[in-house]
Amino acid sequence: MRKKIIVSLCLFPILFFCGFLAAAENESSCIKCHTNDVLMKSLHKPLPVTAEGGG
Amino acid sequence: MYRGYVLDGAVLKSDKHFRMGCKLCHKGNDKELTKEAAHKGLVKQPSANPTTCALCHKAITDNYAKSLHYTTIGQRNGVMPRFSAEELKTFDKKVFEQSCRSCHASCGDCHVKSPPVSGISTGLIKGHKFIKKDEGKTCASCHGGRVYPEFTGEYGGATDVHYQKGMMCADCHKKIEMHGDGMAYKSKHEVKDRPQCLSCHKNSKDQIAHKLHKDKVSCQGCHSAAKYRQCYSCHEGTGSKSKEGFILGLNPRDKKTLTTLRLIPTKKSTFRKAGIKMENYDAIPNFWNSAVHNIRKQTDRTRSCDSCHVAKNGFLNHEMVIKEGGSKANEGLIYNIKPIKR
Repeated sequence: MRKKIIVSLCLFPILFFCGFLAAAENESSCIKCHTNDVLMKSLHKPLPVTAEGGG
Repeated sequence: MYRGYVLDGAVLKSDKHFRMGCKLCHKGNDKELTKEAAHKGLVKQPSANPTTCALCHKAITDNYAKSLHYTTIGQRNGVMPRFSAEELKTFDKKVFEQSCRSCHASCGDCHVKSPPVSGISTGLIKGHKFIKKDEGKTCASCHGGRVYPEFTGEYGGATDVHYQKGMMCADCHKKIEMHGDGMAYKSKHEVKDRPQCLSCHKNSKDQIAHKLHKDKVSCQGCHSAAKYRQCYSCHEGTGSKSKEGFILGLNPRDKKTLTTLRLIPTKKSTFRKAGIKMENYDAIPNFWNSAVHNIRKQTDRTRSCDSCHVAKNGFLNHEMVIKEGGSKANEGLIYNIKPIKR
């Protein structure tokens, strides 16, 4: 019983951390494009300036 | 601008906001490999709805949802006295919700990506890092027409001494002023603990000018160093036009303190397209007291009493107030300064 508790206590933080890692890993498709400077530049052209700011 | 979409890989590894992945805030489909499929259901600006940030920062977003930067209700309440009851209903429906409200600042506008002004943004502040502050890329975007360039001297006027000494916006305008204190204020003038010169400058020295002008002239009335920006023809379809000017007159809020005035560009025709004639246009003036941001210790007025008391430099006068359909209430701001009895 004691052994089980110790194993559970050790496993919980490891699994918790793995959850974050897995979540981050899943984002690779977003990150793959959005860290590509050349690709983003080709897709987003600047707009003409139409007015000054307020304030 | 493309820099609004380029993430910094190092930031993604170091900033704890990314531990839960992009999808938590931006939705979309992170399993798809084509742009169209991945962007289906995408939320471009997650913090436009404060409930996104409330997932972790609820205490802040609860207050922020009532703050003036979020509600922008100060704009509505500022112009409201010019409308009849019917016109106010039209204004709320056709102008405020459609136009003014679009100017509110989201959490991300200050902490992630420079806010767009007329559709232009300078992009992510630091590769999507969640930053605490970067006034030059955030405050300066929305307040870049008048206050910010006035402060830095970028428009050609005198640089504010506080900026020269290395101070930035958030050194005076504290976090609580931005995030709000949970009160739904009607205007910035109601906000408790907003910056006051006297908070730092205790006026301990027995300076005769301070004693003589106490409660009669605002600090900036003497310490505004030079001309500052006055705006014209805003909301007229072509953007606003600005030119420099220095104007001293009575504070429209108390009608007794002499202070720096700034022209508010509301004309009789401003809301004509929305069918609003402004039946009570003359109820309030076109000039409002303004804490201009070009402060210096020494100015023309601190150097010589004659600048005001003899030459009357910069004082609002009859020629300036009614030109181009100005409000009749402008007349009430003219201050006839008297010569000093020697």
